[in-house]
Amino acid sequence: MTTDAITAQSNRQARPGWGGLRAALVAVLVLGLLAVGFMLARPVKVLPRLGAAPSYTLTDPQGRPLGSDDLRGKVVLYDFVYTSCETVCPAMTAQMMQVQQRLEDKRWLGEDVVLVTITFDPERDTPERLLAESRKFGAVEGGWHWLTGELIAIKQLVGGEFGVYFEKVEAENAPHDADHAHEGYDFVHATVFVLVDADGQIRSEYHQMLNLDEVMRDIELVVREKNAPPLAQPVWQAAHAIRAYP
Amino acid sequence: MLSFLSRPVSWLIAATGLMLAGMTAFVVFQPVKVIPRMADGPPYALTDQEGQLVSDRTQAGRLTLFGFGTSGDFTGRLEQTIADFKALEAALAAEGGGSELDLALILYDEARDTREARQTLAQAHDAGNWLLLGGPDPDVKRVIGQGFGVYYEAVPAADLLVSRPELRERFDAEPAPGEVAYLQAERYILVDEQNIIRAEYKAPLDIDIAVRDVNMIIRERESTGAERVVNEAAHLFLCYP
Repeated sequence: MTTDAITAQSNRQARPGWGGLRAALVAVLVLGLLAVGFMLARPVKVLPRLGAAPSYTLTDPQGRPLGSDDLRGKVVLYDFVYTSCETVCPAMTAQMMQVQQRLEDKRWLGEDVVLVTITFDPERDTPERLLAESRKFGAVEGGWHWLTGELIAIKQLVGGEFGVYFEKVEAENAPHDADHAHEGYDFVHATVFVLVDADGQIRSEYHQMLNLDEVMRDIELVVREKNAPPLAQPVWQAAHAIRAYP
Repeated sequence: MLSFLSRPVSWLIAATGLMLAGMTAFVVFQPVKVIPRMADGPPYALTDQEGQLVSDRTQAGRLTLFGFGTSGDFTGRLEQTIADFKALEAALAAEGGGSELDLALILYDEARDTREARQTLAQAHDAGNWLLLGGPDPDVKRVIGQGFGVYYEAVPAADLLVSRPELRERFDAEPAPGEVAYLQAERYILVDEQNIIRAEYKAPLDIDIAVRDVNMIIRERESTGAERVVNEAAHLFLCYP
């Protein structure tokens, strides 16, 4: 062994950490490049978490209690209507029917995703009336729930907590005799759909009629996140951290 | 290469390519962000605690954060709103700002929220510079409900206590027959100097987000020339935070 070789060997022995440091730097560089690539390419997209959805227990058309806790673990698309409505509500319900069909096509209905229609007119929308209405629109049992409840609980939930604006107004051409007093009102109300994830977090609010492709994209994002294997969860958390929103 | 650049068509192609590349880079990297223009705010004409008219016209040129409540509230909402307003005021003042923003609280129970009651509320909370607004019930309902889309409704206080027994401890005595309480969506609405709704928040207010939004709207408003064009491009490409 020459003198130079001996010197080089002794230098390597004197600085045993250099190899590890170099490897660490390379690892940091690779991780940095991956992070930048992730931020630019956004291979995983998520919907923002907008806050906790309200908790409730209401009544289904069979008169059984059904609440937010019963729906945990499933993605829920809500809408808020009243069945006497002759303006926007039938169109909203028709859209829910279309979403139901698309969810059935994907085999998500009832398993991964459920639809929930809540009336804000519980005085007229009794469980029996909701049953008739849900059948009229072909609601699938266990896939599309129609809910009513005590008047004050509904007001608290729909108006106060979901923040859906509705206001009772006297109906035009309303009969004023005592027998029909209950028919003498109508509602001015907002068009609102709310998407809630499996953990009870609001992920999107739609303040107009749905764009079906958009809502199906959103549902798919939330379902994918819900069904991501545990090892892949950090990737979804990273997507939240960098706000990789569609 | 040089012969390519000698032709005008080539320059045109190169310029278009550069412009497209620039637009793509703008969309991808979003170097400038703006707060969305959500909708037109409603026209309104209410009075403040001093009896002065406050309307969408008098507020032209000012940013306004609206909150909603009633002085007769026993659910804790009004306390939350006042605490949020104070926290926002303090956060903006700490940055040396805040003078551009008016904090407006619309009090919606005409019978309870008289001008005197609003004055008392302002004094109690050292909030003389806030706008504590009121007006006839139908006008207020039109502004808050149909205008801003914020739900509130009077219900029998006794019914509310049955529905929410946890509120009973906040109530001094059994409610009198006919006494009303209010259900309300806990919302704040940020409106810009042109009465355009720019943001909607839930209570409790996220102060950091609100301060960020106020500063971004002010920055956008004060922009001129090329910067204003870039801001409009940011709106066009939905470059939102």
